[in-house]
Amino acid sequence: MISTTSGTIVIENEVESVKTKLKLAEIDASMRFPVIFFITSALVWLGIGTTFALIASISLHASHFFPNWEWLTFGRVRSAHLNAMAFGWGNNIVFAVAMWMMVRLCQTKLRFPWLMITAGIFWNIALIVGIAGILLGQLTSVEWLEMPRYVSPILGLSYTMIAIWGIVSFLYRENSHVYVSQWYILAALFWFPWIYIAVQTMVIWFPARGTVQSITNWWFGHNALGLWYTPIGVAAAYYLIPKVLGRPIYSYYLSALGFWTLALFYNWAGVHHLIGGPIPVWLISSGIVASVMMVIPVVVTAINHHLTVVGFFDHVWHSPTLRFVVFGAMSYTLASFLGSAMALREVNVVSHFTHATVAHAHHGIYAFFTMVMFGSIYYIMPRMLKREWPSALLISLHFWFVAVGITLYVLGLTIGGWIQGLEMNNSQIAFIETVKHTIPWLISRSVAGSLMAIGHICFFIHFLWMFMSKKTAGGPTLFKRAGEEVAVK
Amino acid sequence: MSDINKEDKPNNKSSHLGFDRNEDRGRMSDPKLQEIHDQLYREKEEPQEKDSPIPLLLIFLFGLLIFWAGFYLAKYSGGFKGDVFNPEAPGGIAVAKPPAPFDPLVQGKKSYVRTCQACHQADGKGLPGVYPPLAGSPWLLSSEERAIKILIKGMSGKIEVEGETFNGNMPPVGDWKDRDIAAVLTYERQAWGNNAGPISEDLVKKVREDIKDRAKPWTPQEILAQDPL
Amino acid sequence: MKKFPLLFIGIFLTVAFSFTGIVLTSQIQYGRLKPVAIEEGDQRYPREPVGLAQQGNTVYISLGCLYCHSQQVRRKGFGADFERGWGDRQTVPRDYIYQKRVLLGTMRTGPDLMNIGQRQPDPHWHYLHLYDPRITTAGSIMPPFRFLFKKQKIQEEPSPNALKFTPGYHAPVEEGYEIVPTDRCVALVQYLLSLKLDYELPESRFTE
Repeated sequence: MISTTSGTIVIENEVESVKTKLKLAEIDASMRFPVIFFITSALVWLGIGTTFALIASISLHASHFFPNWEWLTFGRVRSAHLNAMAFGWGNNIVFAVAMWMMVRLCQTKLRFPWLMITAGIFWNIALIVGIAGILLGQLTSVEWLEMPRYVSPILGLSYTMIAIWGIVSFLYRENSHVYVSQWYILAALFWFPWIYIAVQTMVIWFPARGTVQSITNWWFGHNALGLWYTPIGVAAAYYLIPKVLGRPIYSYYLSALGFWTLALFYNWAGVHHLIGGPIPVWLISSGIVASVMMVIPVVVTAINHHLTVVGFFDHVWHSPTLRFVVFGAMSYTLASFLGSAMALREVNVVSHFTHATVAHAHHGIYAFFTMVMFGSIYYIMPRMLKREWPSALLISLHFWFVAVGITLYVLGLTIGGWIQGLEMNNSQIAFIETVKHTIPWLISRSVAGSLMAIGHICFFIHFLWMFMSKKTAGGPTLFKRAGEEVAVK
Repeated sequence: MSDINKEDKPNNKSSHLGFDRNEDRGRMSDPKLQEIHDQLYREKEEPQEKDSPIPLLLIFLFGLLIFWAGFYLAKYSGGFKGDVFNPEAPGGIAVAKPPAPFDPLVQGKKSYVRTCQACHQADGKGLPGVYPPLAGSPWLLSSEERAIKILIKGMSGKIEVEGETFNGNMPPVGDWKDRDIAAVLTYERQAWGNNAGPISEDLVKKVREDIKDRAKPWTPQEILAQDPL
Repeated sequence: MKKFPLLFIGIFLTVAFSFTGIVLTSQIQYGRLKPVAIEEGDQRYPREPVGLAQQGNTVYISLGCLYCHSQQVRRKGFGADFERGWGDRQTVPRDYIYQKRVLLGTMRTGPDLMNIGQRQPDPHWHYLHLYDPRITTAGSIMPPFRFLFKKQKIQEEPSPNALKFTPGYHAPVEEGYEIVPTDRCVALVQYLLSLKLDYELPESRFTE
């Protein structure tokens, strides 16, 4: 046994470490029901959103495939898809992952979990009503806010309950250091209600006159991505990458710089949805500048992550959590660079109004955010259920189907959209001809979406299986290493 | 389906204080203790941050970006005014360019593409059974007055063109300027193999004056009575 | 960054900055525009929409047409909006002051509709197009809106709005019956016909 003084410190550190881990186990236990509730809700909405997605995508190149029901018309199905994915899948999984990270990092147990679950139930009920409303024709035709206005107070109330618990947990924190993920989560919790209430007021409840509505709409729409989903995605990456690898993040200063530049610039980028549109040019130019300046936080985060992971990429590959999370983090970098490029006028004159915009949106919300969330679920669930994932094969299938799917999606629609834009700007080509040329690319999107749907089905099956399996800890489920023997259970 | 890897996770810092899981395959007798042990075994340290400095090159690059941003805003913001919509506008209200000389074929084609093409199609052949063709159509190519009258007041009812019957509505474009009506007809009479003479603005003006008391669209019978094919 | 107050102030200020700079400034700069006339005593533009067109606007919103069609014209030289005949001038904020819900749109899966009333002044074209876009526009990917129509027995004479199909088109209706637009459809088409960029504003004159 150890006998020197430095050895005593080693033992003390070890004891501290064990105490912390026991504490984390307790915290996980306190979070059990809310986290499982929100993850399950999120996955249900993911399934619903995927169904709407396939219907919408197929409607654009094979509309005769579906009966001519009014509630299935493209404008409505597409809006139902967006809202189910954003507020159903997106928000539920954010609540699960952000709350779990927050209480863990604050090292404080979740108080009154039943309150969070109640808020979550109301949230989901409001969503069901809202999305049914969309399909029945009560959509607002305001992008990102299609749900009829009578559900927004309930959504607002549920959200407030959850957000307050996040902040309360932070105020009750039991450690002094505030880790970077906590900044992002706190910020997101505060930013979202501000932008949501502002846009509901100025566009839906007391509409402003003229294109002030559009400016407010897109200030909100882009900020939903930049100040809500992105911070949680980045926070999760910042938590899981060092956690799973057991290595520290490269630089605190890079983290801080990344956080504040994101907060500053992302806020102003939303106007790039209106380039060339009927608003004063200074707003457009500011939006373009902010979109390009986003390169700063993105590069900073990428460097920070990269220098944390460098030399350990094979560990990344073999950990299900990290495979998804790092795929996501790299997609964040790529999608953001493409986004900054698309904001430049010379590029935007081609890409605006085309399917390339849709590709970019899915690049960010799926290849980045959703993949990071998948990785988070793979990490969190074993700790909630005190069981391991039953099958590395299903994780592998899940990964490959969605990774190939989203890559095909983004490539197909970016190329198709770019061609569409070039042709649209050439008045020698009849408009209907430009439309016909997009059809193969739209079909490729349906193929890609089907691959993603299969990946989701693998995930759902695996998720259910885990509930029913009895496999307790025998070590975490990892992908097989090449050339190694498979252990017999 | 058992490809579960039972190896230690890499860089596992958790210490067992002497207990190495892989060597001792037996599980503890107390399941609660086992559970706690499993939790400790698979949990790593909470994430930390080192305090490496920000690379200087990065700071330099960001400085460049900020400089670009300032320059771009100064140049392309139209003075931050609320009524400037174009980055190149000299500031203030968008200046209308001096009008180019009016070319009937060019302007006529524009009008055709914008308004007529949807029905009569880009090749002037119309839609069988629905919209009559203009290519080779005597309704367009013979009497100039008749063509002008149809455009100014519209026409509704059964007509026959090259053996096919059509029973539709031709909406009026009487609210167009005389010169635009003349231009579009001039263009059509020269397009798709048609080879008829141009129509003058004065003729349009005269015909408009002649028929100014008429309120409703023409029927084919009426107009053929005035201007037979 | 241990201190919550400092963190909070930063988080607050960054969003307050953009909210003020983008949203509030917009409201101040161009949130109270009124219709204007080019010359003193002329008709003021834009015109206020009335009647059936207003109801049609509701139908447009409820069907989500915005998700494939934009309603904005970019300036000449920035894209080919002008050359395609989608408008003779760029649209500016004042053009939208009477839109209760501003329907700018961000996709052009289908053509821009700001000036569709001038491009397609014939309501029958619109009825046929909505019933099955492939009739009027071969190769169109726009989904059919047959649910906006109803089948009814022909009274003494066919209704004025009854659809007239091309011969050879898969006959949707047997002898003695006709397909007519419902009231919603008529309102929607009136709304589309009201979309005309046929007027000038001091800040946006027709381009040649």
